[in-house]
Amino acid sequence: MPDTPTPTLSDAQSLILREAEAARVAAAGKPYTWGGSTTEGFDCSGFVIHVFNKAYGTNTLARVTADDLRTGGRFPAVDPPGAPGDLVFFAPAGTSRATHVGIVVSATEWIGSQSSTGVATVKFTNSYWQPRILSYGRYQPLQTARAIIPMRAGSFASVINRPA
Amino acid sequence: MRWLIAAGLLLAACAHAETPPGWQRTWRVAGIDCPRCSPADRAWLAARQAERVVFGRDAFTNPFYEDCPQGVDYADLRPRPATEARGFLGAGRLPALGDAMPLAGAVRCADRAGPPNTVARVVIDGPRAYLLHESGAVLRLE
Repeated sequence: MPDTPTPTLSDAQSLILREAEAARVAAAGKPYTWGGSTTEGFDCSGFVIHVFNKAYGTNTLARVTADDLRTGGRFPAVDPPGAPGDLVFFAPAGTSRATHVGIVVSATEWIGSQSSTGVATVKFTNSYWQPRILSYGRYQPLQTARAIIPMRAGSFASVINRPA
Repeated sequence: MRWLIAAGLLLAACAHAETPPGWQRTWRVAGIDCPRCSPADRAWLAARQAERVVFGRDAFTNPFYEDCPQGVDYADLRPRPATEARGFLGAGRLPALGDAMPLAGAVRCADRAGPPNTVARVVIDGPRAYLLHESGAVLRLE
């Protein structure tokens, strides 16, 4: 079998994945916790926010829901299947509001805090999650996000600087 | 003669060590409890009810979620007080347990580099087992 080439990760991608794995290890055995954003127990968006705040500094991301992460402007959509460090959003079939979020680890796995397992890596072939993939988003630092988000009259502040 | 007895004892000990515990077997899904599931989720689970969940010695098979085909770690699965065991299923509801100290904990895949990865949280209560799924769904296995 030919070897699959390992993609070279950027420093930013490596940092995100390192923090995600550190959180997985630190939260091992802890159940999914609604509203949780610490290694004592995470919900899905709490885990993602924890990872990015560890990687980029406290308060990089406010405490919001999975769908807020998808639509809030800090994670503009990218084409499937994303890249390591991107967010992957999930929604029930036939709907477009994200109800779950994880972080892409590789072409075959993502990591998140699921209510059935707590923090765990999940295969993209997972029979439950695979059909629920909605979209992917890539982190943009605030300055970049300002530049790429289309401005609508009166909407800029509410899109970029949403309260927690 | 002494050697023969020692060898016999050794063989018996080995055979005993290799006998898997009773819960390491194939389970069938006998019921699904998911009061908070959407109709679509409930239908998705019901369509798979005929599937089997296998707690094997070297592999774990869970058609509802994810398998561990190349190595499984049951180290977290140990007797715990029933009240603590209930906590392992988080939002999942459990019926009254028959065993005061059921086996409860995480099933983890051990087929990757780094620490094992959780793929299921379960409670094993004698002839029944309970497997947590998403949306607080609990699969009752027999």
